[in-house]
Amino acid sequence: MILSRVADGLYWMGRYVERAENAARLLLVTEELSTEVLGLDEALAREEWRDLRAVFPGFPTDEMPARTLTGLAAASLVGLAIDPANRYSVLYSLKKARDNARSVREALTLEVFVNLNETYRELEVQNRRQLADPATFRSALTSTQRGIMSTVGAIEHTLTRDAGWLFLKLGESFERVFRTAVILRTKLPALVATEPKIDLPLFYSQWRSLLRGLSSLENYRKAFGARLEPIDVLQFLLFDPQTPRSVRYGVTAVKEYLDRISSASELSQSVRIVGKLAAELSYQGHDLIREGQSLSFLDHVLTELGRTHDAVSAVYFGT
Amino acid sequence: MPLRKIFTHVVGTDIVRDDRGDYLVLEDNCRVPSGVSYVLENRNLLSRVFPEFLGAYPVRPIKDYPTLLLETLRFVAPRRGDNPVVVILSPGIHNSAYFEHSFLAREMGVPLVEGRDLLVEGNHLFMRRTHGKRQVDVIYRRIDDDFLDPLAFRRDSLLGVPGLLNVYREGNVALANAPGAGVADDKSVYAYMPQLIKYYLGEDALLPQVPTYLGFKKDDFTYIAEHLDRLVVKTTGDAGGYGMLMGPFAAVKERETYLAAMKKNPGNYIAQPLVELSTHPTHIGGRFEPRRVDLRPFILYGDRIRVLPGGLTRVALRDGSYVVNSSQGGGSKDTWVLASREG
Repeated sequence: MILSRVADGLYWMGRYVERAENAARLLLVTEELSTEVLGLDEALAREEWRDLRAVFPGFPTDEMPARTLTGLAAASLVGLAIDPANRYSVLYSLKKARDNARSVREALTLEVFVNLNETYRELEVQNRRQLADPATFRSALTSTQRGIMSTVGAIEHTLTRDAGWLFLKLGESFERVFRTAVILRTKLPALVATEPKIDLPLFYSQWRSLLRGLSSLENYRKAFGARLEPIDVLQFLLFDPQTPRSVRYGVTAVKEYLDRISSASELSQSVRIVGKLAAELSYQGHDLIREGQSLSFLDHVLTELGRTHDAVSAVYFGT
Repeated sequence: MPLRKIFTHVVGTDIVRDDRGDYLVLEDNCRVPSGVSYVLENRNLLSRVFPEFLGAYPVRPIKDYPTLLLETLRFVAPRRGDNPVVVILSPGIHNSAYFEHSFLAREMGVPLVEGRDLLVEGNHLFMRRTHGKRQVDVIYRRIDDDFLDPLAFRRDSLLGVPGLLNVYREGNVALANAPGAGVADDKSVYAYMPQLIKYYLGEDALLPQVPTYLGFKKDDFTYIAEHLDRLVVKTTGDAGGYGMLMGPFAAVKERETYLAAMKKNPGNYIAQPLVELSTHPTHIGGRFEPRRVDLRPFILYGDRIRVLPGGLTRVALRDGSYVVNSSQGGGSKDTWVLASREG
């Protein structure tokens, strides 16, 4: 049992570390896909950047609309990587993660703090001009991603498995599954509407980049082989019980951390909400996808996750 | 009266050495003296960078300071016997000493709390936790009296805990240091310290202090006004080197402005002759140069009085400067107390 403020700080530290990694990864994948399809289908490349902006909706509302694709790509790239005013930029998330870590420094270890701090510092010194160069951009973001991985490794290897650790992991799992659901919700309408046979290679690169954006391509291949059937990809990302970024796995993880956090006697509101959702995910499958229910189901998932977060905040953080 | 009649659980007295080689007490810090984390970190650094130095001398260890501090704090707990709950109360991450608050919390293994983590119920103090509240017995507070309790002191304080003073008066929580302990380190009271020691303890002070002229005394004020170019003037309530005038180095204009301010509230000022602080070789820009230093040993008062065998040596890094405060660009040095060698 820990201070509510400390639990709050650790939960958000977990969320922001995860969010930073998600944003860094999706930036890298989007940049790569956009470069790949640029000459083939400019509209598609443009769509990729728009989707990314919908998944991380932190761009200023008064932003000048980019006239060219290169302009859109450059503005999105720099904005989501290092703009301190963009609430979803990698730099912003790392800063918030570090601020939270500082405020609960006594609940962490030196290894965790130093890794996070150095990852932030390294990205902080990058400027717009440097990042406009694709090679620099890739190496900077890859290095940030690696820094986040070592922070997560330090958490894994050095933190006491106490209530604080549970809240940190809860935040991480919550952010991960929430972002997966948002990404699927954003990408699906365009993906399922596309008539496959028109340009097959392009069609497949989209699905491949969706999997890569959720670092799940290799895991998918292990489960279904190299063949990318949309229905299999959806089945995998929604219902696979083992891949760490599927919706089912994520909701179950959130439920398990909440189970361990709540004391044995009482069933808290948050556990009730997420427990029902986990059960739905365990018993749903192909039918739902075949019947074209994926979108409404994703909306349902997002609503229930939102309610879970509110219940956690109200009960444990008193906010 | 505070629990176990202790007002000053943690004291950091500032000591200087003058041009005759005598040690003098320059200032008593009885409120929330800071800097002990530097003492411990300086030693850590030195032992990492120059392990051979430490090996060559019988340097007394200081690493157990957090343990001693925790013992001191537990000693004053109102509920004795069963594991008393000790916390550190910090203003939060924006405070310049936050590192130290967090450092000590980690070293002692106690919760670091902010005002908003605490609440008063039924004249007891609790901290808000994820699974209900828990009673708090001892607060090592690192915030000033003024901000402790908006019901008792500053009403606009968001750092404190409403109702805390009532809990304290009931004897249901111990505060270290006790509210009001600042009276003892007031710069005007300082002038009377030798007499106070004589009166209460029947002893002479072991260390002399710097002659002090008090603004509220008419004769003293006249002396100060006439010798401003030879004196260091300080305001009684400030710390950290703020609000002071270094007479010998100040421009005429600066002295005149300062004197005008003094005349409005003479009691708020004291003056002392400039003490020629001792210097210490200091590595600056690739070579050793003399820089002025003072020493702040840390003293804990619990079941007994313990003096940490080390201390914070503060150094004025600017050439010719007399101001060692870290808030004014001062640095610090590891400080050794040697054990007597056997035989």
